[in-house]
Amino acid sequence: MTFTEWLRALEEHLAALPPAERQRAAEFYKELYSDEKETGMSEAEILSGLGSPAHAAAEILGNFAETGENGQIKAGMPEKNGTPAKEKSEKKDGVLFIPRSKLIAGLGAAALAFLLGSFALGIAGSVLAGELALLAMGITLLLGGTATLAAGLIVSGIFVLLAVPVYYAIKYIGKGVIWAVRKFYKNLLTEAKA
Amino acid sequence: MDVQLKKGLLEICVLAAIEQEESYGYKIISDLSPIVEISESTLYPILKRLESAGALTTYSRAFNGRLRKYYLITGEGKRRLAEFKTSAPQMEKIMNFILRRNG
Repeated sequence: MTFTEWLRALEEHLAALPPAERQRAAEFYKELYSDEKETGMSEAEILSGLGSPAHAAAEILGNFAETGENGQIKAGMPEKNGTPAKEKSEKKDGVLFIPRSKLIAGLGAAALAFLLGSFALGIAGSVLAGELALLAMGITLLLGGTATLAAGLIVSGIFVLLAVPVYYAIKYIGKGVIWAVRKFYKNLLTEAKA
Repeated sequence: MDVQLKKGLLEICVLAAIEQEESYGYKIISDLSPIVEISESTLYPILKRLESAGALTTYSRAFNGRLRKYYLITGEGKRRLAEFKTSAPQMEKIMNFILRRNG
């Protein structure tokens, strides 16, 4: 290997660095080579003192990363090397990471909402069924006598009147549950993102 | 020698090598190599680190028909060196303790 080859190999190993930085390192080694040559050292002696180009490059790259982390990097060096690795990983994790405890709480809330909804539907169903049954009873009583007819009509009327508040009650309870669950999840997501 | 320890000591050695007068790559290595093991590939990152930290500045001057880079100690570099010098007695105590000498 000649020094020219050594230098070319070094520059190849430093390909990740900005050109100015790479040139600076090359200048340093060229100057050393010239100085050593002038003292009468042979090319082989100089090269054995330099070590492998890969090792020299590793020393430079290691130092480059270090100064980058300390924020001491000067103008002309790429910003990506200056960004601490920690910040990068945080960004990656922050996208949709939900802590396990929150996830369990969320599932619990969903189950509760399901139960409440079923319960409300059940009430609505039985109210409707009851009304139908009483209506049928009223019709039967209609055939029986006028006194019982009046009673049947009154009872049916009460249930018809009841149907309206029951309908609204179920509607608002349902809306409330949906709103609460939605808010809960929204909080979860914003917390997870923060 | 331990890598971390050597790294710190070499920085101080380089500052000491340019304390009296400016110097250049080859001369720094020649001056230091009788005292401590230092190679070309170790010196370059140290010089770069010291420059980034403001402990030294550089300039290029023509020599033998080519450019040679000279390294100059700054006020910050002198401060660092002085600080290390004041810790010399403590360093000595530590060495005596490690080597079990009754200093």
